Amino acid sequence: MRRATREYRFLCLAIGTVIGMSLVGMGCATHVPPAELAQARTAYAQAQADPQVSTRAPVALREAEEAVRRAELTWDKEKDVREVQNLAAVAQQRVELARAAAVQKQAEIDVEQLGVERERVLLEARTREAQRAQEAVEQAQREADRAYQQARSATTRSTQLAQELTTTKEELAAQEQAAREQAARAQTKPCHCKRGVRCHCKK
Amino acid sequence: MASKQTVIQLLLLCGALGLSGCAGKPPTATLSQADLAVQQASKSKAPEYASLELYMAREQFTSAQEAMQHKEYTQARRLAERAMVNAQLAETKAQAEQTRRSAEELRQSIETLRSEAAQQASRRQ
Repeated sequence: MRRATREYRFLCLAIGTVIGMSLVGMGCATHVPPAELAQARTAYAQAQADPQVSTRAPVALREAEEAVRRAELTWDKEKDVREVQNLAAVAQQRVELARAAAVQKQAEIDVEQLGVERERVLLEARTREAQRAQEAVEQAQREADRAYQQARSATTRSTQLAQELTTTKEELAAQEQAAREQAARAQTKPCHCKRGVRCHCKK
Repeated sequence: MASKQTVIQLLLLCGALGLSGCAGKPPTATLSQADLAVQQASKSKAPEYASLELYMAREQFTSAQEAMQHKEYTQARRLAERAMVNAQLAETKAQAEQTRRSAEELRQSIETLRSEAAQQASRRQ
């Protein structure tokens, strides 16, 4: 019983050692950092060099830098390829995140500026509209004035004409009267009353 | 007694050699963080504007959950970390796209206002 246990223990140790050695061997064999680490580093450097990203998303860029550094530190300390591959992939996504955050920030700034611009254009349009309305009012006023003047002069003219008419009528009446008187006088003229005859003429 | 000791030794060996899978605690916190990030991204405009990133986040989260079930905790943690950053990326990308479109709409409406004003001005002349 005791011997069997000892054998079992030996076997376990042997297997463990073999596995351990092979793992250590693998670790030693891969002293070359995974390609993802270099890619993450390059991606970060490019984003950092982009003024749009560095000015618009400094916080996200800082997080990306930390993620790259974590991957580098993990590689330096542990040389764990799979862990570093994962950390590097996360770091690359963090760089992408910083780029997206920069786009977002820029778009926010654009929206704000365009909003102000739109207000300005609307105000201009309204001002023009008001000016146009003012001009229309002034035009209408001018036309009304002109019409009033025309009406006034027409009234004056008609009054004048009416007066002229009255004058003419009076003149005519006077003329008629004169004519009538003349006629009457003409009729009364040949009244030569003879003596002894009753005279019908008016004297 | 001896066999118990052997088992302990074996476990220690496992730990010392850092054999993943049987080592470490389950990364429950990381998984729930990733879950939250994926859910949040799903509620945003990400399904519309960043479907690829969101799809990747969901896939990675599902794989993380599967790894958890198989007690592959290291793998689960890694996948959850990837899922989380992808979900965040999806959300930010979608938000950026939405804001960019708003800016574009504003730009067009200003253009329309300007051309209307120009037309009115030319009609009056």
